[in-house]
Amino acid sequence: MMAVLDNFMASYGNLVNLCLLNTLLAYGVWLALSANMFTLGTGGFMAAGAYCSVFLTMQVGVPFAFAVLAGGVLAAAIALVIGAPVLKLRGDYFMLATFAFTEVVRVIALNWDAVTGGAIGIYGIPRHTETWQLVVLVLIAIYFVFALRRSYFGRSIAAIRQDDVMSQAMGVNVFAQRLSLFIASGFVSGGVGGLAAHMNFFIGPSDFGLIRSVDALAYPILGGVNALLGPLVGAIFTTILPELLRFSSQWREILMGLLILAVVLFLPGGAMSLLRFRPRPRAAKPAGTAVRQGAE
Amino acid sequence: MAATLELWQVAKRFQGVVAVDSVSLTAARGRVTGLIGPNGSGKTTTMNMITGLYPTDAGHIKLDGVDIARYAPHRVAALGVARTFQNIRLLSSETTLHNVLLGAHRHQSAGLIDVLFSLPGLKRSEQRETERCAALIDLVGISHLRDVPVGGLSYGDRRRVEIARALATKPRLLLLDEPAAGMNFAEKRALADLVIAIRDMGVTVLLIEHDIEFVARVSDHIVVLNFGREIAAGTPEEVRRMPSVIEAYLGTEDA
Repeated sequence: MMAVLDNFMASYGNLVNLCLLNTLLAYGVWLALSANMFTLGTGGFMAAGAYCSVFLTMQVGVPFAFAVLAGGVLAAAIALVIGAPVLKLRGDYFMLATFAFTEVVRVIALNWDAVTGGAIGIYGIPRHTETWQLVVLVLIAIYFVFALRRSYFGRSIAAIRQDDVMSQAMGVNVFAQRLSLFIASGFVSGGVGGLAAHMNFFIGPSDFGLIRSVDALAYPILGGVNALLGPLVGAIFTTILPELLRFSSQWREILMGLLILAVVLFLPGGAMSLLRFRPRPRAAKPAGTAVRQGAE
Repeated sequence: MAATLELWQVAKRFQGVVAVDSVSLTAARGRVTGLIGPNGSGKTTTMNMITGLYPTDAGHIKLDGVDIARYAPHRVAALGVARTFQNIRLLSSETTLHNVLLGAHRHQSAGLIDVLFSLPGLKRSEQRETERCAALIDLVGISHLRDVPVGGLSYGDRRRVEIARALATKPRLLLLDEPAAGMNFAEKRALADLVIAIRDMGVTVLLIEHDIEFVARVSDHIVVLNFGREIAAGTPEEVRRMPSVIEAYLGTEDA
């Protein structure tokens, strides 16, 4: 049994790790998305967490776990600073502002040679990230999201997503809740950045750009924002699919694009809405209402 | 403990269009005050300013002497001001109970740690508020609809869910925006009894309504708005006889 697992990991270990890492990231983005924050800041938070943790392990000699934690805390602190003004903006401007943040981080990474290695990036990062650590973190993330969703706090987040004006009038501090979720999302993204950096041997400025942010946003949306396992399904599916489409690199991008379009058009509740045997009205409209109300 | 609400020369413009010109009124402690006026006279705008959804352009809004004109909506709610909406705003896929529980949000005592680790504090808090909300659902007379998604309920029942949700915030002042709209005669009678029962529980009520009969039945005091100003105030009997009120509602003879 162990031999089979070893064999499997020898061939597909990287893919498994990537799936787990992206699942973790998907739950981080879900935190923001659950309150209608379509964040494109994920790439920026990951970069902050990655460079911070690599600096700490390679130049300061801090233990790996603390370095990753510090990366998350740094990203959370940045989320607090940019979130306070940016969250006052309407949905589409929020998206633009978080995108601008990711770009700013990329430009800083390109130019701050002492810490980021500039355009060349950083090579020879020690490989500390292990599969079992990722499994544990994913399980913890799923449990926390589960606990959050079924509590009064989760219900108020769902209410904010559907009607933030009404939620405020009922005494929910919409701004504080959005800001907390944005900070939590930044923390997870920063931590994932640190984990990713210690998995790949190399990081460079182009690893954490807009594409990364958009991909991360696509995971929970494709899987389904209203389902507990939606982000997991979306992340694994989106990570494995390009590997299956490896026969043609050009068709790969096109097919991925078409598939995302198809899910958004025909399954607005995400892939997980296929699994609902009992028709629930809530499953029928989440993505659509979310977009509309975010733009209000 | 009921609260007193005082508006003093409150004004609101939208890009130059005067929605509320200058409104002064008092909703006396533990009474039902009716706010009536033709369409577009500024009633709902006034209510939105009281609850903090619109910032005022001028004037004071005082709740027991505290000026709340610049407060954010959730802070106004925290001071004990609850409302219902003219165009009912419920989470249509959620059950009656879950909708009403949203009103109890502020009274949940469990913290984030309790939530994330499912500590006993969470269960205690949820249980206490669920019982309180169930009692309120019973009070408004729809306990048989407790676990039904509200999207399928009748208009009148959805209004009742909104009232229960507003009561779940433990208000000292309750603002009702056209609660009788779309209700039949029997439903209106039941609603009138409910409003008076809520008043007798020690809640000040400010009521916007088009149906004069309904307002006269439940209100202790009536304020009439027209063109963003109050044009009359008094007891239901007084107001109904005032020429300015008849004019505002029916128009002048030579108009």
